[in-house]
Amino acid sequence: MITLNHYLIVAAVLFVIGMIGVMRRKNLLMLFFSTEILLNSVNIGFVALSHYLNDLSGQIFAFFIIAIAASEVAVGLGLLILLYKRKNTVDLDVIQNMHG
Amino acid sequence: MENLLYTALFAPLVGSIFAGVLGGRSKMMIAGLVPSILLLVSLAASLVLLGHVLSTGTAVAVTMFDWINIGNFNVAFGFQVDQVTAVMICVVTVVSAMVHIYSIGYMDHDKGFNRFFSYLSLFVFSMMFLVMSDNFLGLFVGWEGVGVCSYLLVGFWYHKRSASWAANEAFIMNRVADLGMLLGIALIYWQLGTVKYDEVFANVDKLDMTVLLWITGLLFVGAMGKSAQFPLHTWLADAMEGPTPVSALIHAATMVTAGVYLVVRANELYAPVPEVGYFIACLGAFVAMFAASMALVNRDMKRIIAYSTLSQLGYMFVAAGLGAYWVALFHLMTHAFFKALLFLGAGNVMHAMHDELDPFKMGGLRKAMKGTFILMTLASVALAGIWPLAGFFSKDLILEVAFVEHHFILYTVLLLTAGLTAFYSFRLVALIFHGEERYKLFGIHPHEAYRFMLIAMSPLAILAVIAGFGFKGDYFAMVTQMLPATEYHVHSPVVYWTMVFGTQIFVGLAIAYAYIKYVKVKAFDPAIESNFFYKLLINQYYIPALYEKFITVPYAKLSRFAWKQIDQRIVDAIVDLIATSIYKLGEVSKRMHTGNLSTMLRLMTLGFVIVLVIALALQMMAK
Amino acid sequence: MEPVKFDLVALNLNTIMPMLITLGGALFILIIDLFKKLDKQFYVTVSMATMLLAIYAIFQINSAGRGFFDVMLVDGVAVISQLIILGASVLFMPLALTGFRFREFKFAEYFAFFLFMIAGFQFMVSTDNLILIFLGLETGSLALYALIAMHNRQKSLESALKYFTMGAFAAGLFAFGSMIFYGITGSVEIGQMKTVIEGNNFSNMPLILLGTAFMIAALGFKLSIVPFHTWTPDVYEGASAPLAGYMSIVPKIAGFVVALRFFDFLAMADDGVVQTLLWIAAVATMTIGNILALVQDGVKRMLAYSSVSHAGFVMTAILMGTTQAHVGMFLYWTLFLFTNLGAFAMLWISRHPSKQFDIRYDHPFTKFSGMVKINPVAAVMMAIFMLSLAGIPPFAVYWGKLYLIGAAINSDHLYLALIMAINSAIAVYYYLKLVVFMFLKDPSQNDGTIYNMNGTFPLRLVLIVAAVFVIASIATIEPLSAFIQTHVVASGF
Repeated sequence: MITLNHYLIVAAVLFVIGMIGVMRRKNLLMLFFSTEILLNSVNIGFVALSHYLNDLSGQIFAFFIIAIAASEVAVGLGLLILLYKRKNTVDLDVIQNMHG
Repeated sequence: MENLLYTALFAPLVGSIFAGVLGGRSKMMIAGLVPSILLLVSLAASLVLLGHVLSTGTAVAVTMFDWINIGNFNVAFGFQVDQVTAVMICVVTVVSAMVHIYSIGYMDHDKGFNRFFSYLSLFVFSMMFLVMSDNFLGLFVGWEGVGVCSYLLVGFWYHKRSASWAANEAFIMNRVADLGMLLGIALIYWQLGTVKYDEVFANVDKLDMTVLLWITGLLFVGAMGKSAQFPLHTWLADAMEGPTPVSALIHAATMVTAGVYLVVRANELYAPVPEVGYFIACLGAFVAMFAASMALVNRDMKRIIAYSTLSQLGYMFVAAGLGAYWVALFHLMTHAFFKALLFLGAGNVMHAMHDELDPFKMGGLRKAMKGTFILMTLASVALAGIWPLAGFFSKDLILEVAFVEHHFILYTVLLLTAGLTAFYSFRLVALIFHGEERYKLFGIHPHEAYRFMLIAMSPLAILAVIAGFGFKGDYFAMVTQMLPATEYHVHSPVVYWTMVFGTQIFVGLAIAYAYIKYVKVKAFDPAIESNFFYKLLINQYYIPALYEKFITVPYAKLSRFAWKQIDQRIVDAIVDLIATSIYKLGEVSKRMHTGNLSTMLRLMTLGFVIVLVIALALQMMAK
Repeated sequence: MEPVKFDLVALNLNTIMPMLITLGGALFILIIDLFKKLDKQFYVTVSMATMLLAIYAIFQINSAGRGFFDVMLVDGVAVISQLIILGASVLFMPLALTGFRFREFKFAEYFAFFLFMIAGFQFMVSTDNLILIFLGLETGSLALYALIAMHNRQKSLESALKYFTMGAFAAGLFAFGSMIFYGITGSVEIGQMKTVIEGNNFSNMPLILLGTAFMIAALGFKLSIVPFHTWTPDVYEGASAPLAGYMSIVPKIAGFVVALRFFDFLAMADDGVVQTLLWIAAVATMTIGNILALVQDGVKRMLAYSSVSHAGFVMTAILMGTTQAHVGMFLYWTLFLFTNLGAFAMLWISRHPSKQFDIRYDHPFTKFSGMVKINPVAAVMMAIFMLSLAGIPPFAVYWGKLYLIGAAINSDHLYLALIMAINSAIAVYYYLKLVVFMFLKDPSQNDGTIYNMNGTFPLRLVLIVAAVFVIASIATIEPLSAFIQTHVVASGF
């Protein structure tokens, strides 16, 4: 039997995976994937909780998160393309002109 | 009446502000005229107030607003004109009005003309504030105000090193004394919970004897500073660096008498402690003699008059110390007139002699400066105490007081001093106005001062003549409504007439001796310089040198030590250490901001973890 | 099954009207752009008109309360913060009318994004529904990332990328935190959460703290709370001066309102854990921001760190939790708005697109050396803004500092008040550093006009408005705080 806890554990594990990706990845594209994993882990959690609590607002939240994730990708990819056009790479180590 | 009081008080302030606004500009006649006219207004208001007090015998009092209101410390901003104050404001406004008008001529060619009038009027305002206040704190404010103005005016020619030095000396010495006074006032407030004269005097009997000794002693320390009593006397002679009208107004007629005013005003505090009074009287007699002796040999016209002032202040303190407050105040008044006159005359001479101060380089000036000669001689006669001029009535009275109170030593000292006074006064007159015209050697062509300057001096001359016999009766009737009305009569007529005539003859002989000795002087005789007494006197008993050696120099060394060793090595070093360590911290944390996105994201995660750990740890602790 | 009822009156459209106006304005600009390319004066005018209309609409909301399916919550706090957001936008918008040409202002999208961003932040402050807060937050932020990147320079792209990436991470944290609170309380509305959690007497504390940690991280990013502040200096440095100034005000006040709604009841819990957390965060933020501002060479970067410090300062209001503190928070931010407006407008006017003063910075400190000798008016203006930021009386920010420190003392946070005072003292050093450069060094330029070549009449007008407000704050402080007080009290904070 798959209970709420299983879903939540999956969500937490996914979130941690996303977080580690955010910390480790130097490729910006991969980094954006990691943030998507973060948001989607939340979606799993929300839907599971919503079902458990018998309340719709969690699922609505999940829908909005999907929408936001999509627009984030749009903006993020736009910036990525700009960077690629200028530097011919998507490695984030090339952008550290500003420091201190 | 209230409006008159305000007019008398604030007209000088308005004049000061008016001249002060023009202060930065070059000489403008209006900057001198407006303050002078406003002072005449103030004078008129003061005279009306005097008339009111004289006729009704009641004081005029006003409360402007609550001034300080902290916790239960409450001082109302109040003024009053009672009998003593009425005398004071009339003296102050008369002398200062005349000095203002005189100064228009005296400062004619000075670049700081406008500034001068601004300071001078501000001084008058402060002095009026001092005497009109109805509480000790207001008196203290005025006290400090006149101190500041004195500083500004002594150092008026601040580009002269000696002038700025003298200004600093006067200011610093007065601060030392003012500390005593402030402590005295604080003690009054601490003991009685009020600083208002009426309330303080009504509760004197509640005070412990020791406390009263401290209060009167501390207040007198303040008076000693302002009235330049020994050992705080050195500043007065040096203050002659200021323009002569300033010397006439501040360092002869008004400010220096504030100490006497304080003792007279606080007479109800002094009355129960006659030992303090006796000390004051002894000190006064000592200063009278001491200052007169220094005046005997001095070769600086203004300093001679300054020592004379000091000596006369000593007289006033003798009277005040012996409880003859009305006599002290009377001498204060007459002295203000003839001493201001004497100074203004000296100012004329200085102008004529192109700022030459040594009377040995003058002589025979009576031909060139007839008006000044008459006025200065008149003032000297009054100062010497010859009948029927003002000085006779006030100074002889002090002698009588000492005699009647059976203080024969004091009496003798004062009598001898009277002789010395006559001698140095006429030594000066003889050297300046009589004898050979020694100034011709120096190629100077003396000229008489402007006519209006002489006219401005003449009211003072008239007062110096008539103030004694003209005012004594009314004055006595008025002020004794407030002050103890002790009349001092020598009971035996033989003794009395012997004393009067004896004194007159003694003084007359002194004058004659001065004339004989100095009329024929051709030049200063250097032989006298090796004389021990001459050296002692001309060096002011070596007191300034002692102060220099034992106070100024060690204090400078101490200050330097505190600056170099304590402030720079310890205090500054600690402050700098804190500043540099914060700055270093900044440099270190700056290096942590590498600008690498990965680092930033890791830092963010780390922050999240830290928040979580702290939260859970706090939660554990809270349980 | 009941039929769906659609009652317009019950919707209480008034509550959503200001946002609808801004959104409408944005769409209008986009549509116009489809047909005809117009110059920036037109877009600025349309945007200004839209925002002024929105402000008018805010004043038309006479009955505070819920609306639009109970999703909107327009209370006093929402009204004040919307006024600050729109007011700041109205004041910053004319800065687009520069003397030199800058590429971003050629695009109609710039102005549309600007209005979308405003609408996003407006939504964020006028609801207590986490969904809508999240939506508003992301709308505003995404538009802002684009706006930063449009300032077509290498550094702008870098800063936009950094901001975006961290923002995406923060969004994930916010979402996860919301999920935890949803799990605990079964609601996405802060008001409901409060009722449930207080009803259970904070029984599930470890879980609540986990959620709170997520929320502190997510909102801390927006508010530039240490250690989530690392983006601030880079983004300020990369963005154009008006946008940097704007970012120091508007997104943060939106974040503060959310933080206020969210942490207010948590901080008041008996065990005081959340309060202590916020205490540590606020103190660390104001201190570290200050220390880092000390060692900067670029004025804009210095202002970035200093605004981190200011955020920490204002953060204290939330942990104190008294009405006086909350009033102080809005008051401080209003005063800070005008001062920062002036400071950044001044930097913007002194911007020269071709002349380089430094390899790295547009506005190094050395650029302003001896400015008083060659351009005294500008130097005095800048000095006034710096003195105000330093909290020197009688200029604007001083009153804010006074109010907040007073609130700290009144709520028995004596150590906090002391730390706030010490930090204010440290801050004086780096603000006066610029004043020292301007007034005591020798000029680095021959020609003083270099400092206002980018200036036009609208820019100067903005500058004058800022300066007048900063100087005259002594007179406006009473009515302003009274106005804020009534609104804050009305919404129960």
